[in-house]
Amino acid sequence: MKLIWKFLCSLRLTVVLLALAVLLIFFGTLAQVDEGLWKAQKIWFESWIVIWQHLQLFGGKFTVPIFPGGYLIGTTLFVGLTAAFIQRFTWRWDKLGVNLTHGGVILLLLGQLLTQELALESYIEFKEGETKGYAEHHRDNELAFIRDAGEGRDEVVVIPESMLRTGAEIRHEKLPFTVRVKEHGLNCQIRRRGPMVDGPATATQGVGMQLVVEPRAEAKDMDSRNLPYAYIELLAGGNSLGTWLVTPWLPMLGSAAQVIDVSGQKLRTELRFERYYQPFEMTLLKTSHEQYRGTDIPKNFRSRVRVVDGKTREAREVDIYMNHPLRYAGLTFYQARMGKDQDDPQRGTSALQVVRNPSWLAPYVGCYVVAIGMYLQFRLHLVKFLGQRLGATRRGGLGAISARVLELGVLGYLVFKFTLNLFGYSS
Amino acid sequence: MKKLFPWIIFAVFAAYAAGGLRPAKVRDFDWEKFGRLPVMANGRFQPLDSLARNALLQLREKGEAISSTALAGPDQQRKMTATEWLTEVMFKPEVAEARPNIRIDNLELKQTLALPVEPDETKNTDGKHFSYAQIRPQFAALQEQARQAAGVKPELQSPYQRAVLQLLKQVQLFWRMENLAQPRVTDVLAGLKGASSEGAEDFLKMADEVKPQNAADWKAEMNAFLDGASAGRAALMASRDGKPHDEKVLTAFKRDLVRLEAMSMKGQPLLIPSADPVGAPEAWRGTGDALMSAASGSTPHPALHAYAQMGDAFRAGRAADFNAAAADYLAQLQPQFGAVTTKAVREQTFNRVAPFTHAMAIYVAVALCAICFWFAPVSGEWLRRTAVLLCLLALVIHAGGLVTRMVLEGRPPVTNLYSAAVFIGFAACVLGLVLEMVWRNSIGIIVSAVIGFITLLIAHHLALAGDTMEMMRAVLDTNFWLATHVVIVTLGYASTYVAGFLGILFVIIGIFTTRLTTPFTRNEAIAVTAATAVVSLPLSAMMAVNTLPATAREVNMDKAFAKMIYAITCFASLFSFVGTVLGGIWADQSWGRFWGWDPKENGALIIVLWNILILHARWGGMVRERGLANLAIVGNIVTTWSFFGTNMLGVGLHSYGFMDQERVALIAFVVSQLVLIAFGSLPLRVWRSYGGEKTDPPAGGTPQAA
Repeated sequence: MKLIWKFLCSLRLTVVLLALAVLLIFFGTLAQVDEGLWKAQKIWFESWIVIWQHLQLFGGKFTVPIFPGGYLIGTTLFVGLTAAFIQRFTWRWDKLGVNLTHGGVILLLLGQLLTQELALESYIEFKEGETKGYAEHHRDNELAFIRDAGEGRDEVVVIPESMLRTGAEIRHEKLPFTVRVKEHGLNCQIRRRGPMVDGPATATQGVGMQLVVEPRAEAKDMDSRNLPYAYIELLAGGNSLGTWLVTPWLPMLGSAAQVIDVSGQKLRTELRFERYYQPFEMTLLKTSHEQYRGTDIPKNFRSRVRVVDGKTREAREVDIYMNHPLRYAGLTFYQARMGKDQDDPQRGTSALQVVRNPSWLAPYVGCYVVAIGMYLQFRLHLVKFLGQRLGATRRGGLGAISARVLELGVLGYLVFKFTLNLFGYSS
Repeated sequence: MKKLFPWIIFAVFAAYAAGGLRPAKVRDFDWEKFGRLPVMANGRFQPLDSLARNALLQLREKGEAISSTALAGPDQQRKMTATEWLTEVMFKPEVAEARPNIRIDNLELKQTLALPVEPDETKNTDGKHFSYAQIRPQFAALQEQARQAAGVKPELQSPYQRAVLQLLKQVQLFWRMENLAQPRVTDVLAGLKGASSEGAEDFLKMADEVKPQNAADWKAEMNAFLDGASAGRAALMASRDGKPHDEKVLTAFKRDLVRLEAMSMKGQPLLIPSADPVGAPEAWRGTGDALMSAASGSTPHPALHAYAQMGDAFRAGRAADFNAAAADYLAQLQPQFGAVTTKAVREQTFNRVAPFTHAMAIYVAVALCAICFWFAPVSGEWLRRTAVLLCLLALVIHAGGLVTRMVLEGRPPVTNLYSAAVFIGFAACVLGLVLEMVWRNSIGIIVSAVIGFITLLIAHHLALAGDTMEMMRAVLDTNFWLATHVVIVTLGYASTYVAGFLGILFVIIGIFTTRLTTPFTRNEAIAVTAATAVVSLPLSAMMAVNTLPATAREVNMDKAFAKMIYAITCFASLFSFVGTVLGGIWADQSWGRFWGWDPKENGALIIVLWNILILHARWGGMVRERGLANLAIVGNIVTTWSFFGTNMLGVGLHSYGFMDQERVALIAFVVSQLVLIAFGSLPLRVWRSYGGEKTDPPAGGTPQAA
């Protein structure tokens, strides 16, 4: 036990872990070129062990672990850091710098861990004049069955896309049927069916009968998303109600949800981007894209929106633009993309990134603490060294005094300015 | 007397640098005055002088033009200032087109265009610089090649294809300059036709019908157009409604409209001031635009007449009239656009003073002083002092340039790769001088001179891409974050480089001389020069030689090195850490995620981790002097990868500076650093500083001075 403790506290471990971290980040970044930002991140940084899936050797395929993953290195670093912190912690002025630095790093790592676990990213994409009461996930999809519950309300049963594997059978107490997934693909294109060219349709019900699905390879880069599809067969009382094609293409192209009639009871279904309902509604009033005069260099992107909150009776208009997000109801809305409606080029569209991150303050505080800590520590070294090097004669000199004044001035100004901006009093 | 030498040399160089402050004498045409006329280009106000220099940098990689390639004879080559060249392009394009100011290096491209590839006196060519007139007959071929090349992804294009696209861009730039003040449109229209631009069919049809010509006597033509505009407009309306009209008037009017439309190319600099200086001070227009709006009834802007007047005087060679017209126009602008003209004058002065060029030259002189110092190490202390003084001078000029740029842009010092390079040089120079102040062993001064010189050289090459004071794209348009995150993280880069550079010096001096542990001998010094030249690192050789004479004061120079590297690494850790976290906070404020594993973020994080690793390895006693030096050299690779390499990956939000040919340079740099590390890892017995029985290896214990 003592040995493990000593091992965890050792500087040697720190150095080895730092070296591994440097290599991990380097390889992980290179992998982004081939794998795409998101996938490389999953494989290298958000994993315990980096596994090489496709090693081909002696005619066989192997999966081999090739590197400790980000979680493993990060956790070990964190544990070692905490252990060393406990072991070496002493209340002395000349240790203040070291303590603050390491405490701040622990805070930063904790904050990042919390963010990883708690933060949720989604986005709202709407056209000018459109109102939305929900945000959508930028990657995940869900299969929704919607029943009219009266009084303008809907009752919705959603199945995450991760459950829609080919051959799966899904039941839910609120659904009057079993969903059998006949076919599922991660990404696809659709086109209209040519009656003579294409064979018989897989779908026997709904718009899917007129469409052909062309499977596509999984999208890798950060900006494009997968548009999956599934053929689902619905079974009620041992009988098939038919096979439907569902894909986010349909709502994207503006077609209404397909209706399923189960003995008089009407349900709507669609495979759509995963939704997060919000307790308020947002209307996009106007988009503006400014450019520098005489060039096509973008100067600003700005969305004017109206927020109407039924609960708090709040109704107001705000501008969301570059570096100026809206923080509301625990969510933060950022200007993400801007474009023109495909059908009506006069009508602007805008996408807002929506982030819920309860631990957003951690890096702010951590940065302060570490910066002050490092500063104190290195200053200590420097003063000691200069004392030896230059001797006492220079200590009280004009240079030393002006240096101290400059130091305080610059630091004070930076911290002051930074803090002002942090709390939104920017000039 | 020797005491005075440093000051005398300093004075000479100060005078050299101050020389640029004085404007050149006006002989006939007052280029100085014309060059300060404001224009809005690249989204910002700038003097015509800047427009001309940037155009020439893109056309021939120099800030000035040449009149011909002939080395003798009546047509002998003469340097033309950028403004003089631009005036000619604007007002006497037929002459400017014959001057060889477009540089083409790609051999295959020269062959495609049937241009001479070798210097040839008889054909009056240097094989490198060509005139627009030489390229024009081959334009269709160029356009066809460019069409094919444009279909290929930038990272897959061959050097030939890149050269083709580059030349097409240069030609278009030349067209824009020709069409600033008067129409020179026949080639533009031919180009437009060849490009089969969508949406322009009607316009091209009309152009075919009316056959517009280039301006011959623009002042008269413009006045005729303005006088006949209402009649022309009436004729145009009548013809649309199918009513009777004067066909001659209509054709002439249409011909002019086509010319004006063709002048208003994409990205055309806006020469004519806003008609509403109070309400919309930025609403400047191109000449074509301004005339078209005059044709639809609004009052023609006086600037149109002013430029026509200048053009007329210039064509006729009436210098006095030209100068008077330029002065009149400036005086007219003054009350309404005072701020704009003041800024233009400032920028023109900045261009003329060329602080970075002067600083570069002085950095070389600093290094030369140190080399001379080596030949007389004991009696030559005055040379070291000279080096320090000159380095201070260079630093002041360097800083002056930096500050002027900040004032002109209204921005913090670092806004793009160019300014980052300039700032890194500045910061490294300051750090080097601080080291020199503390140790006085000439190592710091070498750091300052060499890093200062190299970064300014890199900046010079980055400037060839165009305007270095470009506008900041939407998300970057925030002075707060540019002043905090960008400046601090760049300081982190700069200091990591300084530490790495010290590591290089340590390895070279340690291996090839005994200087790290004992005072050096002259033979050893000669050996180091030869040896480093062999590994083809002339710069390192220069640096190494420079450090040799560092007086015998410091016996354990390896200790001094280690302390310097350690101190700088502490500095680097602080700044790279704070800078990187601030970047995260910026990202949190503008994209909603603190950390997104973007390549640039990862690069910055690697620098932080590496610096921290060095410190912990040192604290844990895992490395001593030599290990520290080697780790610091790795820092060079890490920083360069983060600074340039991550931009080349072409992924993520920070891939703003796409560079391709630099890839080779990056790889070469990394290899050179790896070679140095390999050298640094050689067993200590082959290190001259630790060889023989004289000393214990430093990894095992404290090295002993002999």
